This record gives sequence, structure tokens and C-alpha cells, in this order.
Amino acid sequence: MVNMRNRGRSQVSLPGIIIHLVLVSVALAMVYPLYNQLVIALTGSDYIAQADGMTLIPKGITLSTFKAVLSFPKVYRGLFNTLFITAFGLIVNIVLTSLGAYVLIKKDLAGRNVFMTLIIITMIFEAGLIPDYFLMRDLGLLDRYASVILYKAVNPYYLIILMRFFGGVPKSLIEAARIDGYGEVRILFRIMIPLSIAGIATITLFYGVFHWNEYFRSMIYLTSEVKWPLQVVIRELVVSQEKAAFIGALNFITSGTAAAIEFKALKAALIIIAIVPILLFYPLVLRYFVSGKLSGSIKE
Amino acid sequence: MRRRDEMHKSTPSLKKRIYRDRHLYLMLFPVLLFFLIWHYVPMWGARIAFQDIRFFGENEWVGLKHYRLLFSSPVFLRVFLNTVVISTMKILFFFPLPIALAFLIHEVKSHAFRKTLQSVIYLPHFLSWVVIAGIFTTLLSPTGLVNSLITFFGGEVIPFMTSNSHIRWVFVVSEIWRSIGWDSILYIAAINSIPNELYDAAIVDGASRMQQVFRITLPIILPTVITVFILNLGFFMNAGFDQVFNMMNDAVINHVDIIDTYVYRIGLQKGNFSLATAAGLFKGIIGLILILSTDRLSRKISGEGVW
Amino acid sequence: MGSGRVPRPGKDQGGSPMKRMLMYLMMLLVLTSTVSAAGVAEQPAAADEAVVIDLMAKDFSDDWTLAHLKNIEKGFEEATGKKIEFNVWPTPEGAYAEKLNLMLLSGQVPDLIYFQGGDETASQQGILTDLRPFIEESDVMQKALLDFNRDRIENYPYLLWLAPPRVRVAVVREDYLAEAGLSSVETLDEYYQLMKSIKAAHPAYPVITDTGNTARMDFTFDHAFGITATWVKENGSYVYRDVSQGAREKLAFYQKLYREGILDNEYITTKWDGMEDKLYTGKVAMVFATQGLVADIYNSKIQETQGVGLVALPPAKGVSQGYAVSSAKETRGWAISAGSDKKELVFEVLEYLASDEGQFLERYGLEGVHYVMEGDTVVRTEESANWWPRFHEVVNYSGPTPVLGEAGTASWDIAGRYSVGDPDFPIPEELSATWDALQNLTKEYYYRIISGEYPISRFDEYVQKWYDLGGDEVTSYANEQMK
Repeated sequence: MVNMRNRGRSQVSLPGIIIHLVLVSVALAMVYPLYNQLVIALTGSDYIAQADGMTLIPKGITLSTFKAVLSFPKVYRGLFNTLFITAFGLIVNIVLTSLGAYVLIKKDLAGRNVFMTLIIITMIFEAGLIPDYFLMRDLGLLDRYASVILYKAVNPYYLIILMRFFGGVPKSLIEAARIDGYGEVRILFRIMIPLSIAGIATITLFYGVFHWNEYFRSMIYLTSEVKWPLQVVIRELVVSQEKAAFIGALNFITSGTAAAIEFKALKAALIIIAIVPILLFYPLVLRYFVSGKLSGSIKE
Repeated sequence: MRRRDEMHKSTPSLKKRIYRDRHLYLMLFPVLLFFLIWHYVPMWGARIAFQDIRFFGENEWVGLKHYRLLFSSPVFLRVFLNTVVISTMKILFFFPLPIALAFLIHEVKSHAFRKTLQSVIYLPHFLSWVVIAGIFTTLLSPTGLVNSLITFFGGEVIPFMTSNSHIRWVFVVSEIWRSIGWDSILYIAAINSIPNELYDAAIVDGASRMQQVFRITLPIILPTVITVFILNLGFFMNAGFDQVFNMMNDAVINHVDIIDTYVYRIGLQKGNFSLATAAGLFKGIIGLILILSTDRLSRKISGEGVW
Repeated sequence: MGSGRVPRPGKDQGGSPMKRMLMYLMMLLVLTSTVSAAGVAEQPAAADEAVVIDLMAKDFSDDWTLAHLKNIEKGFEEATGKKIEFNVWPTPEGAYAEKLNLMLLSGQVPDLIYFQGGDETASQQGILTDLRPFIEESDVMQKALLDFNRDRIENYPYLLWLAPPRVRVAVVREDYLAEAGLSSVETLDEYYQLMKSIKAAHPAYPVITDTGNTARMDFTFDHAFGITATWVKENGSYVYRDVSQGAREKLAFYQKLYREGILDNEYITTKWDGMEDKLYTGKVAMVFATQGLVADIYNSKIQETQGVGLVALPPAKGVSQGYAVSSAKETRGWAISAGSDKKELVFEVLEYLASDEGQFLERYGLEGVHYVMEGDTVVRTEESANWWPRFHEVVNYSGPTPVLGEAGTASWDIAGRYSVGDPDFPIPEELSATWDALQNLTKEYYYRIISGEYPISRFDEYVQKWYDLGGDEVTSYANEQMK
């Protein structure tokens, strides 16, 4: 998506330089703290006490912290669980949200205002932990992945955002398809979605991150530790402030490693590990931030 | 002049509309079912805001007891005001920035640079407030980087984190830092989905860059902006628990204590879920009023609402 | 934009493919709601005779704890001939209080419960057993209980927590102490002189620090200013410690420390890990550590990083000397559910854990990991620094080898020697909002006075505000309680 509207302009201009400067400083400000954490995670144990927010180069560079964390079964299980929940969750999210957005943008749908109001109400009012827990119990979903996948299957905020994107598709196209005898679902999947792919990409990203960061509810609904997602495993360490509980198992097997893994470095390593998948996932989504292909249908 | 029965035909009867849209209702059904089961059924459980919870047997109806506890505190007014002030500051000084950033990024010609930018600006959003509070505390401490710069240029040390006049700004700035990138994603996507043909036509007509921005880009993403704005008003009374909880300290507590931190202290920590639920309902009602009224206002003015 | 012609799809009319789609959707939903990972942790089937004890505690699911529980099961069988099996309900710290409440609300009550706050509601509704009858019968318990334990149990008999009272003992770098030519300090004046000389020798850094407030250092300095309890007697009636005359003088003292750079000017934004960092990087000379294990940990860490050890100091002596230990109620502890069908057995387990055999397991940890047997002698490994007792930490227990290191033992002794009772009571629910407001008022004024922003004369203004804000209500309630 090259910015065609700059055709014919000179390359360098003062506003352009300022803009670039601003953006570069913004980017640096955003990246630096994470870079700092990475540095700390790579710092050798002898130097870790001195490492702080201004440390730029890791001293005594070592991969042992990362190795230790990644070799821990809890972390792997957590990672698997999160991926599992995210994958299935996304399917449910996208399908339901698309269905809902597609239907609800039709302005003359009977009852539309009622539906929208009811949905917005759910965005603001939460019944709270206890009623939600009892619901899951009564549905037989306790300690099942389904509880975590379904409890926020549709996020009203994202639904409305998708409606905005769907609304950007020319209604004439939709009407024409209907006249031609296309079924609604077919229209949704063959026309609406491809033409608002940026919207789908956006809410996929949002839902994806939501699943990735899932923490509190999964602790409540999932009682089996083997099902805990990555964030729970991570926080269990950082919040409980006791690395021994975490490292314990590791050292049951090989002693001496605990001393080599400093708490500070451990925290930093876990922060990095939690972010890397998103870093990898995001550019994939970025590709879809383009205007939908209209393929010659809006010529006249 | 249209004949009367022709006018009648242009708005079909309710029954006819429902039949015409019957497939749509079927498609909508699972979504509504979800909301019904996972949201409205438990809402009945929110009645504990008016009850005392009993482990054995029935909960006891106590009417407005929890609300009395909530509102009777000498500090409730202050806590309420803090919440309003902090939220308002965030709306005024934070809300427009991701939009501006999206525009700036869009101006970047280099494909590579733009991609790199987009791939990093959202990163701080993924740091927890525990980490960010630590970062800002260090940065803004009397011996930290910012104050070093200030004193270098001859100014006096400013104790940002413990000063009543600065602490709320610290909240705004740290929020900006954390979320400007992430929040701009939506606007970037919206800007990107504007078909190039529109710009092409404008260029042919001789439009300058500024004109393109104001005549094409801005109006097209305005509905998105309005939507996001109004929706966020629903959360107006939240003001960011995680942030406040992690960044507050004894010196400024009376200036930044919000409803949620207050409820956390006197309610949740003691396991008083009723109180927390009552506070949640209170916040929710205000949020709902805000959304519905601004939505109506927006429709009157620009014809666009939330949906 | 006219009506675009979209290529025809063929014969489809919208009915069947849509219905199919919906069917797939329904199937998908049903599928996701029945998918469950392999390896759901099944409750282990109870062995023939072993009685299963359901246990709910924070962070009890790591391998060390599980191995430890197995050891306890074995030891208990050896001691009493009864077979038990622990069934841990795993709960991470992050959601412990909520999870626990949910369990209780939904009628699932474990036999043995660890509480860390939030127990009042449970006890008020009769879910927890009154432990006094069990305790009275038990010789082991009688031996293990300290005075303040007894007081607390009298006030609130639902939680058992055998552990030394958590006081913070001042620990200072031994090299700085030696520099000042001292081996210890005792009076308030001596403390001040020591801190001054350390500051003079190392002007770049503060001498002491605290975490967000002065709660830690208060342990050392309260009694010196006459703050001997939570509620102190002034002119015949009880006054809350924060607004007492002693508090005024203590604040003036802290203000001086802050001004002279002795008290870390950033103590208000320092958290526990920041405090430790400062200690280990030589940026602070003295901190206030929980006695025992924690002091040991600090000691070994600072040995690693700075090459020096820590010396524990007694509380400052002034008007009085000591550490006030509140006897209101245990803030945490073990409870037995009132509905449990094995109350006596569960108590027996707790009793076993307080006995010498149980304490050995509790204090020394796992053989091969935390200690090794060389012949008949117990030798602790490096790893032992990462172990702590899961149930009880009986003060009177003395094991075959010192359980604590030097700093740990020294601080433990000091804490034991100087702890005094502090008759106290829990704040009732009706007053909790007022109490919260009073705390907030105190936080703000205290900090501003200490930092020098407000002169000490504004203390009186604070006291007046305190009473106006509801303090007199609480005070009269207190005087009623303490009669």
C-alpha cells in the first residue's frame, strides 16, 4: 500500500524531517524498556546485582536464564495451553463477531436498537466473579478449556468496531448481491469480509491479545494446574516473590542452578518470553491492514 | 406526487420485515444466545449488591446497606472527584494522541520505516503496570534521569511521584506512553482501509496534502473516532485501577485514590464482594448514562452514533 | 457507483448453504464446549485405608511442597499408625482470596484451610471450628504456644499460626558498624550517633530505608518514644498510637533523619525489592528485616554481593524498649472447617507438625536437597536457604543443628527477648470506611511532616483533623473494648 498521494512531491521537507524525528524518538521511547529487560535477562549472575534501568550492554552475557526458564515443564504447558485457548478462542470470536456485525449494521432491521442497547449494557455492567463462577459450574464447564474460551466469546467493543468496518463497504454491493440471490452467509463470507479485511485483522489482533493476556478468569475457572495458561504460570512466580517455589522442581534434579539464576534476571526473562510470540504474530496481522480489494466492482 | 399506497410500500410492516430478514435473525441468534447466557443470566447474581452473603443458606436482603457504607465515608466524595478528574484528564490529553500518531505514521513515505514503526510502538502496552510503575518511579525520582536534565538546565528538582500537583500528570503521561501505540492500531487500520481511488481522484482535482487529510481521511475515520470515544465513556468511572494501584504512594494517596482502589481496600481485601458489586453497579449506571446521552447528542449533531 | 454486476455463483439460492453453515457453527460451539485436554488432574483414588485430607493453601503445588507432604504422611504414619493422604486444591497466590471465597460459597469446603485475610466472614458464619478444645487437650500445643499466641486464640479461636511474631529487627552492615567503633547499639541516642557517623563516613548514600512508609523502622523506634502498643494510655484513657504524644516526638525525630539524609529520601516510593537492591548494592547501610529466615537470606545475599555480613541490633531504648506484638487476632493461619468429618484427625496432623519429629521435617526440608546425612549428623546444603516451613515454625524447637544462620539466630533471639504483648482488637465493619479515611489522612500528613514539607507544628492540626474525621468515634469504641 504505497502512499500514492505523495507522487510528485520533493523527498525532503521540514515538516517531513520533524515528523520523522518525532516518530523515531517515539519509537525509541517505546522500545527501550523492553530492550533493557532483554539486556537484564542476558546478564550473567555475577553482574546482575548492578544491572538496572540504565544498563545498555549485558555483562557476562549468558543464555542460562532463558534456558532454565524454557526447560521448565510448567512453562511449556502454560505455552501450550495459551496457544490452544487462543486458537479455538479466535475461531469462536471471529465467527460470532462477524455474524453479529453483519446483521446489526442493517439499519432497518426490526429490533436493532433494542439489540444494540442490550449488548452495550453488557459491556458496562458486569455481574461479578461470583455469579459468573456459579454459571460456569451449572453449565458443567468448570476446569474445562471451554469456560475460558467462551466467557468472552463476543466483546461488544470489538463487535461495534467491526460494524464500523463492515459499514464502510458500499451498501449497493450488498444489495446487488442480495438481488442476485446470494444467501446472507455467502455474502458475509464472500463479499463483506474480504472487503473489510483490515477490520477482521484488527479484531483478530485484539481478540488474540486478549486471549494471550488471559490470567484472572482462567485461575478461577481452571482448577487443574496442567491447564493454566502462560500468564498464570508467569505471574505465579513474579507475584509470589519466591523463586524457590518455582525453581524448586528444577533443582530437585540438578542442584546449583538456583544460585545461577537471579530473581531479577528471571523476571526479565519471563517478560521477554511473554512478549516474543506477540512480536512474531503482529507483523502477520499487519499485512492485512490494507484497503479491501474492490476488484473492479465499483467502476461506474 | 406519490400515491398513498405506494408510500405505504416503502416501509414494510413489522411482520414483513421480520420475515424478510429471517435469515439474518438466524445468524444473529448464536450471538444473542451468548449474551443471554453469559451476561444476562449472571446479572441476576448481581443482586448481591443488595444482600449480605451467607455461606450457609439464603443470602439476606439488606437493601441499600452497602451503598450506605460506600457513600457514607467522609472520603467518598473525594474519591469520586479524583476518579472524574483523572478520567477527564485522560480524555482531554490522551485520547487525541493515538489518532495524531496514526496520521503521522501514515505520512511516512518509506515502507520499511513505516512497518518498523508499526511493529514497535505497541510494545509498551504489554508491560504490566507493576513494571511500568517501577520504570517511571526510577525515571522521575529526584535523582532520576528527568530531574538530572532539569537541574542541568538550571531548574529545581521536582519530586514528581510525591507531588500532588504533578502526580496526575504522571498518570496521564505514563498512560500515553503505554497505550498511544496500541490504541493507534485501530486508527491506522481505519486509515489504511480508505481506498486509494479516493486520493487519486482528489489529486487529479488538484488537492494538496493538507486538503487530502482534512477532506478525505479525517471525515472517513471520524465515525470510528466518535465510536471509540463514546464507547470509552462507558468506562469513565474506571480510571485505571492497575495503574493507580501500582503508582500510588502515601504522599499522594488522597489525590489519586479512585473508586476502585477505595473499594479494593475496604471491600475486596476483606472478601466483601457485595460492596464491590454495589460499587460496580454504581459505576456502570454512570457509564451507561454517559454513553446513551453522548450517543444521542452525537446523532443530533452529526447523524452518527455509536452504531 | 451504479449497480455492480457480481458474477453469479450458480444455482445457490441462499437456503441450504446457509443452513449448512449454521449447522457447522452449532457443531463448532458444541465441540469447543466439550473439548478438554488430556491429562485432567484426576483426584488420586484414595488408598485402601488412607484418609484423604482436603487441603487448600497458597502455592502448595510445587514439587518441593508435594514431596514434603509425602514425607509428612510417612512420618505421621510412623508416629501414630494412621494413614493419611493430602489432597491439595491448587491455587495460585494471585487469586487466592477470591478462589477461597468462591469455594466456600459454592459449598466446597476443604478440611484444612490456610487463610491470609478474609477469614472474619467465614468465622462469623460458623464455617470454622473453634480450636480451643483441641488445643487444651494437646501437650504438644501447650508447649509450642507462646503467650501472644494464647492471647490471640482467646480473642479469636479459629486460626492457628505457630510462628514467631513478625517483627522487623534492625540489621546493619558489620563493616560500617566496626568503622564506627561499635559492636552494637542500644539507646535511642546511640542509634542516632551510629547513623550520623555512618552518614559522615559515607555521605553519598542514606543510612536507612523503608518501604513506602515507616512501618518497618517503627518496630525499632516506637517504644523509645513511648509508643508501646496500638492503643496507648494517655491521661487515663486510650489514644491511638498515630495521634499520641509519642508519635509527635517520633515524627520530629524522623524528620531530622530525613533532613540529614540519614533516612532515604525516596523511601516512600521504594518497594521491598528496591530496598533489597539498595542493600545489596551498598546504597544503604541498615534495613529492618523480619527476624529469622529473612535475615539469613539478606545476610547471605549481601555476603555474596558486598562481601560483608549483617549484625542484628536490639530495639532502641528510650522511654521504653521492645516490640509491640498485637494480640487482636492472627492475621493468617490454619483453620479446620466446621463441616469436616475428620476434625480430630486434622488437628492431630497439625499437632504432629508441631512436635519434634514434625518440626524436623518442617525446618530442615527434603533430604538430599536441603540437607544430607553424614553418618548421624545433619549437614545443611546451600539449597537450604530456599526452604521454609510450610505449616509451623515453632519457636521453642531446637534441632540437631542450628536451623538458622548467624544473622537469623541473632535477630530471632532479639525478637524473642523484646517482644511484648499489645492488647488490640479488630475494627468492626461499620467503622471500616471511617478507619480507611483516618489511615489515608495519617499517610499524607506523616509523609509531609517527615519530608519536611510541613513543620512539626502541623502535627496538632493533623490530630484535630483526625478526631474530626471520625477518630473520636473510633477512640470511644476502643475505650469500650479495652475495659
